[in-house]
Amino acid sequence: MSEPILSARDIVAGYVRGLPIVHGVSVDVAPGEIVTIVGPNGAGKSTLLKAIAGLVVFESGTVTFAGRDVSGHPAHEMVKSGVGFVPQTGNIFTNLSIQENLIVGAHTVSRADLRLRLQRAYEHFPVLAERRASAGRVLSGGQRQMLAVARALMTDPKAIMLDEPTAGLSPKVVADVFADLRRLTELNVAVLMVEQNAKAAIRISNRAYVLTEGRNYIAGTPDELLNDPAIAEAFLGGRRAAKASGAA
Amino acid sequence: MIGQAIADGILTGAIIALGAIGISLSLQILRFANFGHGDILTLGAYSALTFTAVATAGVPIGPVSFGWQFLVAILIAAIVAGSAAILIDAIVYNRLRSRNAHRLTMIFASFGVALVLRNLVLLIWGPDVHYYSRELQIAVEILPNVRVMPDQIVVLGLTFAVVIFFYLVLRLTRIGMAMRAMAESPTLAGICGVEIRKMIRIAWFIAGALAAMAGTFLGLTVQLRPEMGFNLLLAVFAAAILGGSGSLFGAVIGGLLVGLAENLSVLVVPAGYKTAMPFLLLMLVLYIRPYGLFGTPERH
Ligand SMILES: Nc1ncnc2c1ncn2[C@@H]1O[C@H](COP(=O)(O)OP(=O)(O)OP(=O)(O)O)[C@@H](O)[C@H]1O
Ligand SMILES: [Mg+2]
Repeated sequence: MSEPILSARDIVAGYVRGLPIVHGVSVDVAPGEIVTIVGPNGAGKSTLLKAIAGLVVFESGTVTFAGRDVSGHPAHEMVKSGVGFVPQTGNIFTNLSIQENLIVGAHTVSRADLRLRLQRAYEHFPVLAERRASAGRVLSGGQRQMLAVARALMTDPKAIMLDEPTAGLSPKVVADVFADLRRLTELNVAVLMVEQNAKAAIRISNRAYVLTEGRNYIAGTPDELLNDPAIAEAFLGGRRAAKASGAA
Repeated sequence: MIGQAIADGILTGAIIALGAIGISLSLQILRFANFGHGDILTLGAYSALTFTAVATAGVPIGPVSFGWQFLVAILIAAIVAGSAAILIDAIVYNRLRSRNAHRLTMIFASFGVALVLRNLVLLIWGPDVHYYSRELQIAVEILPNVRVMPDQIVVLGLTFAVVIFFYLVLRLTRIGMAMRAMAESPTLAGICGVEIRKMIRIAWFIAGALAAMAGTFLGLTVQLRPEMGFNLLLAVFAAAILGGSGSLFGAVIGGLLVGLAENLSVLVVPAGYKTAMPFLLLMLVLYIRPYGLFGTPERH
């Protein structure tokens, strides 16, 4: 792995001060790399991303981005620094049109650049171009996810964090999203994602982390993790079953 | 008779609508019911009075009671009230927000702010009734048996101009879109790079400025009294809720309906019940559409 651009060290964070959910997690992503975080429900994966993005109570640890200490910086500053974020839920504005979603996504972008970025987004996601005047709320699940990613890319982030970008999508659309992420890495963007489609996500990743109970459990290359029967059994296959029995 | 009541209703309704937009903004962006809004309106009206006391309301232009100086007075009032709203946020509401105060705490704090403001107005300008101008106006008959004051027509025109301007800002500018985005999700707006505290200041300024306009218009067409804003507040709330809290269009329609309900009711019930009419209307509407006329059901 080359020098990481985004590096989180010993992050302790949660929703109420003094009651952390994430207990000292570390993750690194280098430019052009896809790094996936997997783990059981409630492991603190989303909370970790939110801690890096500046959305939850940041208790201790350090986040460095492009050599700068950005620990605990509020969300709007993280975007300006060059870290994009697609949260797990509520990741588009349903009352705004597609075009307005993209414009707000480019809030930190200059007026001159905005036009070009919009054009680029529409070229890349023609479906969004067709429906640019429609309200976010009328979009299908796949289109919403597309809009959320397109929105996060409006700022030209050097690193992008995605929380379950393929949740609820059909297998074909999942493949499309992953192909899009791979293409981003060709532009040297660093991709850090949390995924429930664990195996498929790890296959397209350079490295992966398994998180449990707010702590790093194990990390490795796709080969190392996918070929370890114990890991595969506990974290990469049984998840859906666990979810189903949990819901029953 | 009925034509006159409709004309009067639209005129009071327009003023109520200006106030209701501010309430609607604080419900959406600041997420609490601001009971201090009425007294910001009063503060605005009296700020304009201080200006006209020095500069006069100007030599009347045509049939209206004021000259261009009064338009400057409105502008000053808007800036004073808008800035006061930002200042109050900094010393009261922001401190509560940063300590994660409950919505109810914010509401009670706004009652406190209301009392402080009202007594400040009383202290500075005294309890007497004031007028911007003593010029006499001749009512014009716009339709058979429907008479309005020239001032009222100007007020109505200015109100609609301001509302349309504000609508276009919300629809077409990046700041406007960011405000609407923040109204839906402050978290996602932050992720997009929108600075929440800056948006909150802008929202307060707009709410304060619109309230000041409502105040000067009320002072111009009726009179200035220290409790003018507070007395209007319940009608303003009724309008904002009636229209569906959070919708600009709703706030305007709500304002007009409240104004009409008050003025039309006089035709059938004793005038003493006039101020109860908006609430009767409100109960009726909320019974059928609990989220207001133009609101959408809140999802959790
Ligand atoms: N807004 C919140 N306020 C308080 N606690 C929360 C909040 N969101 C999540 N939690 C708690 O934090 C813990 C970790 O949640 P988190 O969302 O980070 O898990 P996750 O690993 O992303 O799970 P999932 O796979 O279900 O998305 C859970 O116990 C959850 O109940
Ligand atoms: Mg999650």
